[in-house]
Amino acid sequence: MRIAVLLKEVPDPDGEYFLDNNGKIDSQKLIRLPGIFDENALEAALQIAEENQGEVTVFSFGSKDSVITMRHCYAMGANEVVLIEDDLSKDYSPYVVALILSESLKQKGPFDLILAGRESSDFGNGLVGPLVAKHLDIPFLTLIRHIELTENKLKISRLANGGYDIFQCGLPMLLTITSEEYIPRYPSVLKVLKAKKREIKQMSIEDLGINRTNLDSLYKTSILDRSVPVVEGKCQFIEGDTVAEMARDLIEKLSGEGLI
Amino acid sequence: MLQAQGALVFVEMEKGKLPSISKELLSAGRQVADWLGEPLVAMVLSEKEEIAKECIALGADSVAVIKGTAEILNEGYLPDEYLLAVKTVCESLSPRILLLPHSSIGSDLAPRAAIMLNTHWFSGCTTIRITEDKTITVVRPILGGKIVNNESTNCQPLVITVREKCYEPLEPDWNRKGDIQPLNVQFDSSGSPIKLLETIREEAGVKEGLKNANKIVTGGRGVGSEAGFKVLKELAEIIGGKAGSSKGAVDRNWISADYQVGMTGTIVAPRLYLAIGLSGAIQHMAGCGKSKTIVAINTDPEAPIFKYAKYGIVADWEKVVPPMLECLKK
Repeated sequence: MRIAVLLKEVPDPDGEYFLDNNGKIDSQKLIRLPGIFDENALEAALQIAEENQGEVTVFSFGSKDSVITMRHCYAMGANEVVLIEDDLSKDYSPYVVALILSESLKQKGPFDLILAGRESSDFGNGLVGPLVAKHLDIPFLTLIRHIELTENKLKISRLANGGYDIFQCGLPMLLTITSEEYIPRYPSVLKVLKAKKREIKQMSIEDLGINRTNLDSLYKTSILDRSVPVVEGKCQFIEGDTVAEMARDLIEKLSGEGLI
Repeated sequence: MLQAQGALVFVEMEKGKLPSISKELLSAGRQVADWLGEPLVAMVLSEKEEIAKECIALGADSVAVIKGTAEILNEGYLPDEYLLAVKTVCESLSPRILLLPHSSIGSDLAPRAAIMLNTHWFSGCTTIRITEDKTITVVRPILGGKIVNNESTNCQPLVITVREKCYEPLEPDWNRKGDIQPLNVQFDSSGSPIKLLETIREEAGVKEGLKNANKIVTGGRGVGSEAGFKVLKELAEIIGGKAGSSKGAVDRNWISADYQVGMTGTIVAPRLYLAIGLSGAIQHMAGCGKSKTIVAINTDPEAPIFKYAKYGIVADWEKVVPPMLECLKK
């Protein structure tokens, strides 16, 4: 059982974001982490591998600095980590990323199961998973909260409005994972220390036989402008001598407006 | 190939009815169709005539009714069959824009449709705009809503999923006229690699209740304990509303994840949103920012929630809520 996980390193989703004068997102000062849902996907892969004597390979397209995140994947329990390294990786469109990841999966493959997060925690396009499935010509299903593997058949639970659906499918398959069930494990100090000694296989776009100049045609969208949403504060603060008085005043105001 | 024109709305059904998101999507589609001066077509996977008529009353110029769907609908979401239906309609109409809900079905079907049509999918949009030269653009929140992108593409058709509660449904106009056209689709599930075994729905679930509630009392980390949420539930009940929670409180196991309001929880838009001990992080506000009146109770006067609130009390909720309950019980 060979499982691949597609993982993107992202700036801290809880950080503060600014736009520079060119409308570019300034996230230089933020720490970088594995994408939230991608880490759920890695946890799912590790659990399935543990139950089925499988092995897990993580693929990431990122910059040189991603090495710390890649080591975290080892500490969690990945068998191998492959970083396709490019300094411009943050600016590539999902179409480019999907092509690059697909070529690396072909080179290291075949894999029985490929898992990715439901969407990246930064741009949230949710496209890389489906596009990789298309490149590899395998079926996919999104928003998966649980996976069971028995005799080369998958039984998967998928989020649905007001509940979930249970699907069955064969292998190979690509699934995108949600955050409900596969809560990422905290690696022990020992595992973190051991991970520091592990080799991270680094490749370049050229190592995959991809001609950089051909990538330009894969940009399908343009961003016309960006903004940081501004909220106008016009809160009427309720004051009073006692908190009980303030509470009564609030109830009066709300009932006066027919809200309660 | 036909000359591309018009907007097509994929109408999602819920328990045999039109859910609010489908009505919102028809309203969005109507606006786009009017801008372009082109028709709005709704595609429906239901043979019920009243559904098609309701789509017309809510803004569609015509409705493509997919035939041979009864058994498929009874089964639930089947990716390959749904895609075949979209493909059949797109081949017959060649729409300029395809709108789907950003629901669990829509966000699986949309990338399939975009790949099939060799175009781009704009995921999780909040607004659709048009420029002076008639280019359609979309507004997409990224980074959990901390940044908002205005995006466009040269690809056609545009495949767009729209988030819930971003458009107001139109008042139904039962005098509107429109064509109802049956469309035959040759379904054959035998070749599909993905089989649906079972659909599990929570009856009268918490999420469903939150989505439709007129009044919501939501607690955050400041509520401090599971016991605190019991008090909030009492307050919610006494005003005839529902209780909700922030992600922070769910992560601390004070309340189950079903109660979570926010970008990754339930998206709500009640008339009254009472935010208690809740900071108002942007990911949370993405799920409740459309509420008509927000009231905040928080000890920190600098908490972002006060920027969204109409009324605010800077105090410990444990001192404010008991006199509120007392006052309401009278």
